[in-house]
Amino acid sequence: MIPFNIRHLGLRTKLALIVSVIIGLISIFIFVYFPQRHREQEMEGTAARAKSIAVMTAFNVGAAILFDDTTTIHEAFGAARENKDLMYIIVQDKQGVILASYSGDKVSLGHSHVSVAEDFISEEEEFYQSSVPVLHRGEELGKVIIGISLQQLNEEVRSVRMAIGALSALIFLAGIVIAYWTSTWITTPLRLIAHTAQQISAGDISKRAPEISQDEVGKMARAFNVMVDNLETVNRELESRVRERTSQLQFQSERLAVFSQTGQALNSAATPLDAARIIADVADRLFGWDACTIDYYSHGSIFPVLNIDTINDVRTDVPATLVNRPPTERMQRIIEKGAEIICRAPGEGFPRNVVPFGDTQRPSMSLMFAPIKSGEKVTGILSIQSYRQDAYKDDDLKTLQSLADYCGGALERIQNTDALRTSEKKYRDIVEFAPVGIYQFGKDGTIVSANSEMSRILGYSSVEELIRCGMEQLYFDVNDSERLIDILERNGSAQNVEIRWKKKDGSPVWIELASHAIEDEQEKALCFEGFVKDISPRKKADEALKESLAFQRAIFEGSRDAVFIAADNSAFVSVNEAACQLTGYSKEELLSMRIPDLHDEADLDAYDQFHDRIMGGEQILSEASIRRKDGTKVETEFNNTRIFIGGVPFMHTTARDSTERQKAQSHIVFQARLLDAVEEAVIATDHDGRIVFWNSFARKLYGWEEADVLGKNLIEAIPSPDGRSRAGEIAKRLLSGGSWSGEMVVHRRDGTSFPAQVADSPILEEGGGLIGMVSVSVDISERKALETQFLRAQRLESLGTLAGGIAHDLNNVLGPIMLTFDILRQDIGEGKYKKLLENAESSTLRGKNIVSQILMFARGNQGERGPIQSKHIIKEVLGIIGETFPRNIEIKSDILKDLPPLNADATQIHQVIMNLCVNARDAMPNGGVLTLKAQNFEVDEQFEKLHISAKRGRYVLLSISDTGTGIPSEIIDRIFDPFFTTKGAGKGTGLGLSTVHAVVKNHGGFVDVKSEPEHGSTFRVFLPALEGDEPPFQRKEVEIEWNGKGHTILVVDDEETVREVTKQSLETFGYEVLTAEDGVAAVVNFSLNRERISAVVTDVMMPLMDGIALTRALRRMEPNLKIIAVSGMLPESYVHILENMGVDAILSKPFTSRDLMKALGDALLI
Amino acid sequence: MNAIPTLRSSVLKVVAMLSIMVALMQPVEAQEVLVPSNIQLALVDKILSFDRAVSRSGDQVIVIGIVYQKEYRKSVTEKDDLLKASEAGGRGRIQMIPIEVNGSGDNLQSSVPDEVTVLYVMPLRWFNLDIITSLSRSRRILTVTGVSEYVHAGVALGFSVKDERPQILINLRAARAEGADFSSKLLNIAKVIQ
Repeated sequence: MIPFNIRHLGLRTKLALIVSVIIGLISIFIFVYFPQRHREQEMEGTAARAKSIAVMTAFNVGAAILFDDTTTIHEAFGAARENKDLMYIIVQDKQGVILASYSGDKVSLGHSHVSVAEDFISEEEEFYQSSVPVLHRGEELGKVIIGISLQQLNEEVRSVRMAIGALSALIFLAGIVIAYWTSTWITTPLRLIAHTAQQISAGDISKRAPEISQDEVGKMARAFNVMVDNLETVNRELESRVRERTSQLQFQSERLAVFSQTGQALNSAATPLDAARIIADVADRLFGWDACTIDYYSHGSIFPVLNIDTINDVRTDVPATLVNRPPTERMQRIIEKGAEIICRAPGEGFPRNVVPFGDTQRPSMSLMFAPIKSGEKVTGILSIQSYRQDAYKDDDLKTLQSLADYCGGALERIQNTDALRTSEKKYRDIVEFAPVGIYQFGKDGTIVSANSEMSRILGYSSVEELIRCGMEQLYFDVNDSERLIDILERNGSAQNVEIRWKKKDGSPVWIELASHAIEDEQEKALCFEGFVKDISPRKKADEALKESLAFQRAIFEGSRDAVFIAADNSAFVSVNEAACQLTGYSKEELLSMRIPDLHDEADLDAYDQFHDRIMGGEQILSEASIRRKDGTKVETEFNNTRIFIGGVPFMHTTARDSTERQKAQSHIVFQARLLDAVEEAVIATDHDGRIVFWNSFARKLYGWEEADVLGKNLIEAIPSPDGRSRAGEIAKRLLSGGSWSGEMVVHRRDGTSFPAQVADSPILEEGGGLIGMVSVSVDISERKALETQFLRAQRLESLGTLAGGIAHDLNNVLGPIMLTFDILRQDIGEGKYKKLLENAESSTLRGKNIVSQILMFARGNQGERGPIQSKHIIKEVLGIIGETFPRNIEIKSDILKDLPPLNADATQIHQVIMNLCVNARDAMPNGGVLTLKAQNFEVDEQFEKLHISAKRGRYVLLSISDTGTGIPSEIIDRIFDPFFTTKGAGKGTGLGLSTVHAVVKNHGGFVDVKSEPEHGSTFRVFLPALEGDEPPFQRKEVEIEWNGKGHTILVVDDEETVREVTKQSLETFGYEVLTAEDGVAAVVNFSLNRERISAVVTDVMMPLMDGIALTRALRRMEPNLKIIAVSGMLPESYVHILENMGVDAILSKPFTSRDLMKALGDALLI
Repeated sequence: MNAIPTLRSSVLKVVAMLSIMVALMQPVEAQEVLVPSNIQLALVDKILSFDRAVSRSGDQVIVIGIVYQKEYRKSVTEKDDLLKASEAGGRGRIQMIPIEVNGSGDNLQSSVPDEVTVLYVMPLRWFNLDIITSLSRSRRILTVTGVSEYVHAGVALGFSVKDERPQILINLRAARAEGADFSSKLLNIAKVIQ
């Protein structure tokens, strides 16, 4: 806390004080800092010295500690002791054992000396201890602890501090003196300036500040003096102005007083004339006058208010010379340019452009005119005149203008008030007697004022009663008030607002309201006022009309038919929504169009007449197409009439899109034709079974025309024993709502019958009751025939499988027998048993052929196939039958030259043709004609459907026809069955046609037969044509004699008989033969004799190890070994496997020696 | 026929005994002296200045007895070299006295004069060094040798070569037993064998 207020001190004192303080602080700083700094430095030095002593000692005692050389340690102490400040030295080893120590007088060493690791200063700063480790070759051996006395240091520091303290005090004292002297020296000019300023402020403005220096203070003194000089000058001027102004103010004050009084008087003035008199009186008091005029100026015209002239020394109101007239030139000048003072010269009369008033003989010598203004607008002219010369001065004019300005607003106000009063009365009467309710309402919606009509509308007896009502008494919905106020506040006004209010009796009244807001200066609504009109009657009428119109509109718009109303000029005046949908145009677009715009030019030829007829009162139904907006056309039917609206004729047209109707009609026609187009008989009957519909296919199928059967019962029209027997079942099914389908034999009109697939379905009404039946029937004769063919083929295949099995076993039986013949032939020679042998061989061969035929039938017995030309085979057959058939059989042929080749077994095809020819011969025991044909045939889709085995493509058709006995129909299905024959016992095997069938089927073809008892039969063989060139001519084989000498053959067969016979047969031809009973034995035998064995003949079907496995094993052992496979009946897959394995030949049992020799010869190339 | 085996057995016995003796006696085989004699002598002079016992004794002259074997050439040679070095070095305060020792060493006690303060051990063959060291310890005589192995065997001070420079070897226990008080400064620069 400062015990005095420094602000009250003088500048010199402040400056001296501040400088002293600063110096004091510096002194204190010096006194504190430097001794401290000195002490720190000394302490650092002491610490460094102690450290160095310790380090040196540690260095010296390192080895001594290591070697327990205490002498050296003590010697080291001696060096350290040269430091007089040394208090103690301690050398201790690593374990802390003191090895040597030295301590000066008055020093007792204790644990505290050795226990502290870091360097430190003792508490009382008596000594400084430093310790360093004793290192010897990097290993710490112990520690050296040095204690250095700080006594000398402290004393030194103390003395230094004292010196510095004295110095600081000295500096401080000197500083004070200097501060005082400096502050005095600096502040004296300022003080002088301040003193001068005081004198001047005391009033002695003549005083000036001494300019005793050239520095800033001196400059300030000079500037101060200049300022004072200026001030003196200004003061003098100011005084004169003040005096002047004072007089002016005094004058103005007096004038203001007068004006104030005038203002009060004017406030009480009721009329402009009263106000004018007051002004004139004031002017008189201010200036004195002999004449005074006050005129209003409004809208370019002068309206006198007051005209006073002094006539015979009496002030008299005189009439104005200008009333509602444009201002004079002088007036105009005053209005435009402002106040004017005119001082006439003596003897000067009235100016020419002045209209005198009052005493017209005596012109005024001094005149003053001042415009009276309201704001910037001149509202009048104030004029005072005096008969005296130079009665007025310029100041007077100013005063007059002031008076005019002061009074201008008041005058206008008075005038306005007067006008307002007049106007107010006028409008009050208007409001009061207005035929509409006029009212004001506040922002809360309540009525604050209203006229009588308002109260009458709402059923109140008086306005006062109405005003007392709250909003809930006026509005059915209080929100209506808030909405209205909101509209008014936002928009400032509301027009034609219809609101439902409540009358006094609570009944509703519709009012139409127009209101606006009364706003304050910030354009905020203060309240609202407006007009209301009772529109309840009109509302009722509107409601009724609205309902009527709505009803009519609903009918108009809701009509599904388009309605167009057009004027006499064909322009649309009204259209409904359906019209828009029909045409695609919007209402607005249609209303800008005319009737012809909706039609093409081509349709408008007869429009004018059409229009005239309608407008003439005729109603016309028509059909035409309308062009929609999108360009499409729509077929439309129209109903056009004339109507009157408000006495004016219009064309009224309803239109309907007839597209759907036409479509429906077309659809019906189409459906009818559709039913006629189907290839099924569609017959519809009514509930009683009478025919109501008979399509064209029914006519074709049954032979009855529609007219013949319509109305007849179905059973009568289509007799059917099956139908009659099933009628009950069918009826029951239909009555239950179900359908019936099945096969039955039906009769045509001509009595013929055919199998038909019939499907009967009920026709039900919406309620589910049966109202009729529809029957669909189709001829299934062909399907039945195909089914028969299929069953026949299945039967043949089963028989073939059975026969094949039997044939296979027979082959095994015949095989050895046939091989034996060759052996026996050589032994028998030409003896008597040769014939027997030949007969036996012949029979055996026959047996083989029979078996082959059975196999052919069963498996097709695929032989060698290749491209062959059937015409060659036919020619060959023709050659044979020409030579061998009876002469009473005529043989004809018709062979196409460009027959395509076949991929077939020539032998088999030969067999087929021969069999058929033989059959044909047998069918003509009394002779006849046998015809062979060969032609191309193309199987198409239709043919394919009728023949189960036919495939689309090219075929060669071989036809063998006879004119024999024919084949009875009851057996024709069985002629291809094996062993089926009509010939007597022993005259046929019954395998011929079955073989034909099997071979043809195996070649991918098919056979059909047509036969008529007593007229003959025709067999047609269809064989698939091979695409390509005619096959080359095949060379005939040449017989070769084989000799197997030098070759050893291994024969493998599980049947001993076959093995032995084959062996003997081969030995006959010079082979050496080894045998094996199965595949395993064969492998063993081959491995033992592989060098000798040239070929292996092996049966394929063997137990344990079959021929395929044996072949595989032998191939591994000897890849080039010749192998011949033998089997009675090999599946095709086995054949492929053996061929892929590279067997040299595959022989079918039973085979001849020649077959075997040829195969071996080909394989061994011998 | 029996004599030869007898002679053989005798010889064998002798050899066995000698072997045992060798094993028991810690025989000192002849060793190399790596540092030249003059350098050894100079180092001995310097080293003795670090021996406070010597300085305490105040002796002006240091008498060094050179122990050698006249039967062993190397010993004699080294002895002669050392004498020559002593004479050439002009070290007035060192006086050399050769002391011949027999094979058993039993004449050593009587051969070493009382004024000898240092025994300089030459390379010896088949000699029990303990005879010398026990004498030196009893009589507080410092033993010095140029054979570095002898230091390990109990001689107090010896010399070897390290990095082609002579290295002082001090058997500190032996030295202290012989009354030497070497300064740690010397010990610091020597190789001290504890």
